[in-house]
Amino acid sequence: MRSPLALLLAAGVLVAAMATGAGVAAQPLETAVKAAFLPKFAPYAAWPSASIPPAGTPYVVCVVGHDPFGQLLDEAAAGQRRDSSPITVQRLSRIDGRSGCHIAYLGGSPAQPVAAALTALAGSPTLTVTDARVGRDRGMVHFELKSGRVRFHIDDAAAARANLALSSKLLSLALSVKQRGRS
Amino acid sequence: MKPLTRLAGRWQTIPRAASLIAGLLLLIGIAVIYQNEQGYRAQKADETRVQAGILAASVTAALDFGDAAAAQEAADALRVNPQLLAAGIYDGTGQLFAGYQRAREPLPRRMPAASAAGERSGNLLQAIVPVERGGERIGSVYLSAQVDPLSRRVARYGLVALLVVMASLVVVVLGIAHTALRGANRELSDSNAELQRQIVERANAEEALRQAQKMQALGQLTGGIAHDFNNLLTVIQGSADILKRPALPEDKRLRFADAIVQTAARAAALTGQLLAFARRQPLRPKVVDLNERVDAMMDMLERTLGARFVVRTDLGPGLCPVEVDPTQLEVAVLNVIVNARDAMPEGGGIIIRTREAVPEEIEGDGAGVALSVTDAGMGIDAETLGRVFEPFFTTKNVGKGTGLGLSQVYGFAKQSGGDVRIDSELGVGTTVTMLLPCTGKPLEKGPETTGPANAQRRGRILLVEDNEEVGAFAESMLAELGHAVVRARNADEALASIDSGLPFDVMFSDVVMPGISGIELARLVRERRPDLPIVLTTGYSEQIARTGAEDLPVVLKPYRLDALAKALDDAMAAAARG
Ligand SMILES: Nc1ncnc2c1ncn2[C@@H]1O[C@H](COP(=O)(O)OP(=O)(O)O)[C@@H](O)[C@H]1O
Ligand SMILES: [Mg+2]
Repeated sequence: MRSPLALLLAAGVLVAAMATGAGVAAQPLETAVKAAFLPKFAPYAAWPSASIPPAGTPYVVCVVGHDPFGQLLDEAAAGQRRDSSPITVQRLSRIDGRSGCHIAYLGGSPAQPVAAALTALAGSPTLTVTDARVGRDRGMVHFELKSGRVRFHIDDAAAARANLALSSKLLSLALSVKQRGRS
Repeated sequence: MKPLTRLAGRWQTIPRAASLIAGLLLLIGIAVIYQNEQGYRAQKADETRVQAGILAASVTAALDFGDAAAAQEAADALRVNPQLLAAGIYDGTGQLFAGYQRAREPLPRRMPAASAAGERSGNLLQAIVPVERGGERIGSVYLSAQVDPLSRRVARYGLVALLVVMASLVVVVLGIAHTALRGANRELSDSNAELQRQIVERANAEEALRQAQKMQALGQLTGGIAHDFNNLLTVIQGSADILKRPALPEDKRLRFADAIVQTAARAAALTGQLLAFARRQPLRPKVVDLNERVDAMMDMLERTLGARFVVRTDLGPGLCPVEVDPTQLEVAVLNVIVNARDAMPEGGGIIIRTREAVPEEIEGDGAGVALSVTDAGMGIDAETLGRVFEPFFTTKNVGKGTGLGLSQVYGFAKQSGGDVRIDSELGVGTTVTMLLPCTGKPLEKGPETTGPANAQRRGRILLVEDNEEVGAFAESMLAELGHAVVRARNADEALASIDSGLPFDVMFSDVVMPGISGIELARLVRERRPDLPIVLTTGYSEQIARTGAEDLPVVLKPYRLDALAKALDDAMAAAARG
């Protein structure tokens, strides 16, 4: 019985060491990837015509609550366009249907936890993005680190409820897709 | 080598039109195939571009979100198409992002130069298509595809090519056939002309050969006859010499005189053969009885053959008479007998047979008689049998044979309206059969009487003879017969004698003389003395052969004393009658 225990212990130590080591090294890269992804979702989503910005006016990516990206997101957004529209970044402490966000990363905050933000946005045409690092609550896109790579789950049903259409190309990249109802 | 050059020659002569059509057909065929190939390649290029476009569209998000696995998956989906050799997905910086490659077609590590886009090189089609998101280029897709392998394409165009080639071949063959026909026509007329020339040449050559053969035959003949004649002359000369000796006993004198008579007869037979061969002997047919003739000849035959031979006769009774020249008949029988003798060097039996001819043996209707001579000699082989009737054909040595014997027999039989048959078996013997047609005419009685050579009538005779010896001989002969003779050496002398009013009872004239011939002389004499009987004599005479002797009696040289006496007697008797 001693050796399995010792093995288990050793494994635990190893995992901890790996976790901390990987965590320290991976964290900035993972954040940078996510920052790059966020504005890229814009071309793969279609908003109801009322929400489409007039030509020249930007699509808005909002970071709600905790912001892990900082300058990285601004840089990524600057390099992206959707059609003729640029993409800009707004940082909010709270969000609701009238905030004018096309894409919203819900970083969570005591003022408005992720679940509350999701509730506040229910039915409004905002592509919600949540992060497994933040919590279990899932928006339409949910980041998760898989095999050291940033991947995402997609809840197409939720997107449908928000009158959003997501490109099948995007769906094909998802770790999992919650299909929209055939109605 | 020869057919090759001939073929080459043919090729040159294919009419221009045929080659033109064939060439045109080939060109059209090639053009059709080329166009087809171009179309096919263009279509393939389009297809490849479309495939690349589809791949580009399907990997946009994967490229955008850096999902190499997804991109790889999309690229791998193309692997099912064996013609797509390599597929590459490159990111915005031109770095290879995902893709696959098949053997021998490596995938470039970096985005290939843009200039290569859509280019084809040999069997390879390449397409490069940008990956765009919202009008922005975020990467590229590279595809390289293989067009159908050559074998597949060859198979596709094979039928067309085959049809075109066949059609061209047909045209060319037709062309060749056409020219060949024309050529053949020309050749035909050429060879026809050549043939004509050869026929003429050949005729000339044959003429020359005939001439040469004639000369050769003449040589052989002369040799043979000279030999025979010399033999005969030796006998005559020797006998005459002995007769000249004084105090010769009577029996010896008779024997040698007989020898001279016999030998001269053979010499006469010999020249008779020659003349018969030359067809210059006038035929003097008489109605005779064959059996009688054979009987009459037996003495002479037995003497000719000698003691080693036994001649037996088997003469059929009651045979019809035949109309033939008796001298020729005798010569013919003699010829056949001599052949029989020569076929049996050791001697033996010879059978002379006469019988009625069976109908199959006689041409046409009417009856005939057959006279055959059978020996037990060596026989005649089939090859020789085919030639025995040829003049000058002989298997005997020079001096032994002249090749004229059977030729005479044949000529005689044919001229008499009959035929000759030879049945022979090698080593057993030979039968030569003369077939002669019966005649309806009554028998003429008796041949020349062999009785004493006494002239019944004596008369004054005008003898015209240019040859000194013969003239002197004839003179003494006529004197011997009791006639009075006046000799003339030519026609002029003869006419002068007549004009001088000498009373002649008969003119006896040679036919062949320098200047006026005997026949012309006869005509001239008749004008002056129509009642003077005329008798002609000749060894041979073309004129008599051609025109006959104008009803004048002819005594053939060499003549026997009794023959001469009889001819003159008859002439004088006829004149006395009327
Ligand atoms: N009874 C025969 N037996 C064998 N051969 C014969 C007989 N009769 C004729 N022949 C052949 O026919 C040839 C021609 O005969 P012929 O014309 O009489 O000429 P010749 O006797 O001078 O040779 C002879 O050379 C001989 O070969
Ligand atoms: Mg002979």
